[in-house]
Amino acid sequence: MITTLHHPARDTVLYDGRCRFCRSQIALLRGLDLSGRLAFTSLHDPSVAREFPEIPLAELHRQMYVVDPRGLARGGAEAVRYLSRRLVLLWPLALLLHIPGTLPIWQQLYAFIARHRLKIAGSCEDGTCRLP
Amino acid sequence: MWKSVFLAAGIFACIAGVELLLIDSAVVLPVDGRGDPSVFTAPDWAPWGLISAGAVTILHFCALPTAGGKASAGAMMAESRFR
Repeated sequence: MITTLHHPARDTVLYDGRCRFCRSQIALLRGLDLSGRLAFTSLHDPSVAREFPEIPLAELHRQMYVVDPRGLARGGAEAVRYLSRRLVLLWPLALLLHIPGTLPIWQQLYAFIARHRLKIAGSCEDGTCRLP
Repeated sequence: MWKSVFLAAGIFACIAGVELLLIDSAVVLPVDGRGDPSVFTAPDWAPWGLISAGAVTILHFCALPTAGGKASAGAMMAESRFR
């Protein structure tokens, strides 16, 4: 877990805005976030490097990060676990993700999906993605 | 007897998890009344870990055979599905 000096007002999800699969998952998260607890920022946004310089860019490309209002940045499967606790509609998933001893399994699964995310649905490099 | 122990442990873990979910911190007073009370703050994941572990333990209880040696209802259902 990385600690950042900047403490965002809301839990901030840092994702790859040029990946179609990531964008579809973020759209899903927006729908599940009924009480507006989350803020979403693409890692390609200049504000990310300015506000969270502690998180290396290579890490942001490797996995999603969630920075909480205390400045704690969780990445990958730990970020998904954190989001499952924060969003009421994801509580059934939280029960599965929190079974003691299973975190390495979720980390492996997350890393596999993250490595192949551009193969799943392609990227937005050609400019055909919708604006957020 | 072991079957009941698993059920009791599972229910206990679930109740403890829900309790931790409802509180931010707990003040633990010294037994003899002397000394400073200590404040216990559980990590974020602790309530969910306890509830999950409790649920798995209760599922294990359902799969255990009864005292007479017969398979439990849960185990028989699982067995019939795999036939």
